[in-house]
Amino acid sequence: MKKLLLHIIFFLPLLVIAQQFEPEPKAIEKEFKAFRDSFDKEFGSEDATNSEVKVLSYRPEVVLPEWFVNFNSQNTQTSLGISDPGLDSLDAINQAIHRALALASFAHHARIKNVSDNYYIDNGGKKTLGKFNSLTLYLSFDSLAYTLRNSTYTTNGEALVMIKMTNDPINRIALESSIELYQSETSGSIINRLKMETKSPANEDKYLKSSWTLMESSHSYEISSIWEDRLLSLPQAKYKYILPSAVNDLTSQNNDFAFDMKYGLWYAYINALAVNMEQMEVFSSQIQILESKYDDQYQDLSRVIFSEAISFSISGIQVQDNKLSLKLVKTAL
Amino acid sequence: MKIKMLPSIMMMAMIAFLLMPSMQSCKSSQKASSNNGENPISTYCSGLEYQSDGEYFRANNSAESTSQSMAKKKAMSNARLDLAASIQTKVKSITDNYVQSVAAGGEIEDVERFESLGREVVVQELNGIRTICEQFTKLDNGRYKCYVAIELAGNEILNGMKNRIGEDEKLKIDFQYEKYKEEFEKEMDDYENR
Repeated sequence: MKKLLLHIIFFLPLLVIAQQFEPEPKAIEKEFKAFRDSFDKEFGSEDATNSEVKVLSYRPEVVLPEWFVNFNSQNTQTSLGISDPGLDSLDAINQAIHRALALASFAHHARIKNVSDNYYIDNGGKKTLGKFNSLTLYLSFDSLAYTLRNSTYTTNGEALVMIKMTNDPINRIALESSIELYQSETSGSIINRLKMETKSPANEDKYLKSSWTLMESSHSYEISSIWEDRLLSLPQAKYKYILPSAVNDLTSQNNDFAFDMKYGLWYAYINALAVNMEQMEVFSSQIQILESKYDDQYQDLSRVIFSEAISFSISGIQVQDNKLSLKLVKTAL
Repeated sequence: MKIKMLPSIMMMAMIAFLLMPSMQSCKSSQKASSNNGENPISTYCSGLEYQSDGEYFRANNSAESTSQSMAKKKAMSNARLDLAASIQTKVKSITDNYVQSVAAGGEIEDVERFESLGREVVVQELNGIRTICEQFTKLDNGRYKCYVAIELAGNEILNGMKNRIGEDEKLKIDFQYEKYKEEFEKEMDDYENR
């Protein structure tokens, strides 16, 4: 009996300590499995051995023109357009102009709509944000006339244009444009989907349609581009852009959202524009507490919704370390 | 001897068991005191100026992400939810006080309908939100952290309530704006006098 009690005295503290440490790996495994399930739901189950590993090499550096990096659309009625890389010069110029018109239309007047869902995990009464989903839609309808102010064709086979809107009442181009930005973050992992679509009447019953879609996660990306109903075959390469020697390398500010240009100038420009438009001050929002028990994984779902008409100007472009950021200024409608 | 030994061993086991948690706390308090027991907490967009007062409802929050823009979106979304929650609590109290004072005189017919309408206005519509603070930091692990503070004028809530009631044919007959406003101002003064 004495021995038994001595054993209890000896092992009881060890047992208590072991109990304190044992749940941690189980919790990590559970968290990992929950996260992996969400991840597979988003991307579909994929075996790493099936993936083709591609090492992309950088193309020669492109020196951006001064008129591009010094661009400022405040009170100038101007807009920039950038084509996909690898196009012939005529296609590239037409695509760049078409995109410049669409962006001018967004800057002039766009409707922005956003739904953000916050999924909470209840850990013994303490709520933590487990998943965050956000979908923003920008819509614009406009009729514009323009003149081409500047253009250049880079060694990457991409056109850069600057157009100026005019009051020409005859040669106006009707344009219907939309941008969709979907971002989802689960346990620190982000997926990103950005799509821009434009539609413009070509003749009586035909439309000129184009779209550009990016699907991106922390370890992969895919871009598909359709121009005049053709799916473009985009080159597999990485890109580098630098400032012309006459332009100073300005250090970007803390609050700038900088985007890597390694997937092309348009990739960085449209990402920077979409994110900056989304971050502009929005005055009206709705809050909805949707569910007290959303599913087995998340216990609460709160939704924030906003919808507003916006109008903006680009007050500056910054290029540093192959990253691009934009400065947007909200203007009166 | 054996009989005497048994209670004393049991007593020792119980003492050892009971002392264990306190021994552990001693260890952790020693760890804390290695930094002189105190560590300053610096948080952006917080403090008195970012708390609700007699004129504005305010909320602050922060969020982390590997993406700078995502950190801001999450922080803004969290702050909006916090703002809605604090407004909901306040307006519920205002509406309850108003209903009590008006219903006592038999001047309001549908108390429940009025109360539910009050809650709906607050939960759903937040018009006029303004960002008053925004600060980014980059953490050692490479993630971004965004701190935000937002505010909404109390008048916006009052007007929202007034407009919503004005749209309800039945409630607008009974609604006494001046009395409601009085209750509203009383509650807002509570923020000021804290």
